[in-house]
Amino acid sequence: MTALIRVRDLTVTARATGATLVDGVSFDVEPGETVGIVGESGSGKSLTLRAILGMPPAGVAVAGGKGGAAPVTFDGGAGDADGTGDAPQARAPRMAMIFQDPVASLDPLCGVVRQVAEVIRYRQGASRRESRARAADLLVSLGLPESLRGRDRYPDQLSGGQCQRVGLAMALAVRPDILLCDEPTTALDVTVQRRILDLLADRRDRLGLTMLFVTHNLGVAAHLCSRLIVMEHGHIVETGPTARVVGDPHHPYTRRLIDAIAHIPEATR
Amino acid sequence: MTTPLLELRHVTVRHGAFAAVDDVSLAVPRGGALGIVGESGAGKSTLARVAAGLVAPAGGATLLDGGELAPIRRTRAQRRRIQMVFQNPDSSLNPRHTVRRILAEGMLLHGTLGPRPARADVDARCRELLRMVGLDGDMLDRLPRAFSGGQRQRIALARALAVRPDVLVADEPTSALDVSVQREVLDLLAARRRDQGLALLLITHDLGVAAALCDDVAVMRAGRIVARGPARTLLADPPAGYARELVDAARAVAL
Repeated sequence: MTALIRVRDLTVTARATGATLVDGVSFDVEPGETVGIVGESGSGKSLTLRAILGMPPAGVAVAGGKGGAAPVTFDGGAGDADGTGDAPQARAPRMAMIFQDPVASLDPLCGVVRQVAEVIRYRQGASRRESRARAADLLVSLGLPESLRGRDRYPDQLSGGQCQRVGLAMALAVRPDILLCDEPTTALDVTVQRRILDLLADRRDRLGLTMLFVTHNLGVAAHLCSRLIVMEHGHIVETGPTARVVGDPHHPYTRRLIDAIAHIPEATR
Repeated sequence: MTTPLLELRHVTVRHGAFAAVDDVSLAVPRGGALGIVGESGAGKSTLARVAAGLVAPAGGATLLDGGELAPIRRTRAQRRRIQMVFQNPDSSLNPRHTVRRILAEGMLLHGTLGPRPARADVDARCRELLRMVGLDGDMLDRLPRAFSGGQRQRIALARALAVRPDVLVADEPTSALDVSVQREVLDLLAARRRDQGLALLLITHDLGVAAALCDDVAVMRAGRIVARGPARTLLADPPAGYARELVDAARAVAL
């Protein structure tokens, strides 16, 4: 099977200092897989995701292996991971991303139905009226109140969990092949996190989405992902099926991450 | 019945008509550790600030060794005995002060080393404190920015411990830290409890952190304590209702 995303010798360096932030990372994401990239601050997990999206942050340089080989290819063709935007877009799968801060990732001056409708209008080519109706349908299907059909709401009128549902709606409105998630539940309370994770798993299963999920929380990654990639200081230290990585970690760093988790006491009965 | 070290009685904090904390009572015994768990907006941090004398409640009282404390204007001796550590070490350490000044300020104010300690004695105690929290004793002339987030939190902890408090009020002390660094700070707090009999009022949204450090746990929601009991039994077998919903949600993503 052809990988949906193929990452080869991906290297990200800081332009100012020349420091290597991601150091020759390689992995594949197969269609339909949910892959988790796990690591602590400074591991390079988010930079890897941003490089795949083709939107590296300012001040870093993205490069591939020897001979100028592209660091990120999609389904056989090269993407625009160097951020210049002149690579063959047509070959790239449709990607959408949801972000860590659900409130900051929305436009505070624009109603949420309108924000989702804009994406639908642009990506699905629907009329203004049709886009709004579809946006409201999508938002309600993701657990936002029915009252949105009548009256739009601004992000600050919604809770953090509701804003993350809006973020997911905007991502799904793209009708993506692959959903990139950067710590999507980190800013949320644990009961809200659970609902969002359930929702992500449900849409993934129904729509056959491929997911690449970046998180510092090994438990969250293990809950959702079939395969894990563990990163430390810009390197992949371990990769494998979730049950194997969690149950029988091969690398000392993975072992340390697992041992450091503070557990909730188990019921003795 | 023995008098608790720290006690809150019927504490209520209002912001206008909204009760951030609504008639909460709790007690921390000498050398004991109580964890307050709950989600955003439950009133956990406000409660911690009342205990530390940083917020004046609309009603209720804070007692230390059975004696009622003023809500805010406490005596220096009372302030010394209740120290606080905050979630974000970046905003709780003065970025222009050296580690020496950060650690020595409280000691000099509270006369922990006697009325006019020699500079060499202050330095020696500062180095001892740094080593106690697992940092290099030779770092006294550095500014906070020379340290990582986890190291800065350990400096904040050393500052609180410098004046030999009886109880530490810790508001999400490990929430901004990576999990491996979090483990170091938890171990450090556990060691202070064991070696110095330091009592702890720990505010956290992380049930695993509460279980790691606390004898007892109280679950807060919307300003009230909705469940309380020994950490082992309460978290292992929470009562039906919100406490169980919270534990189940946390357990769903536990390894």
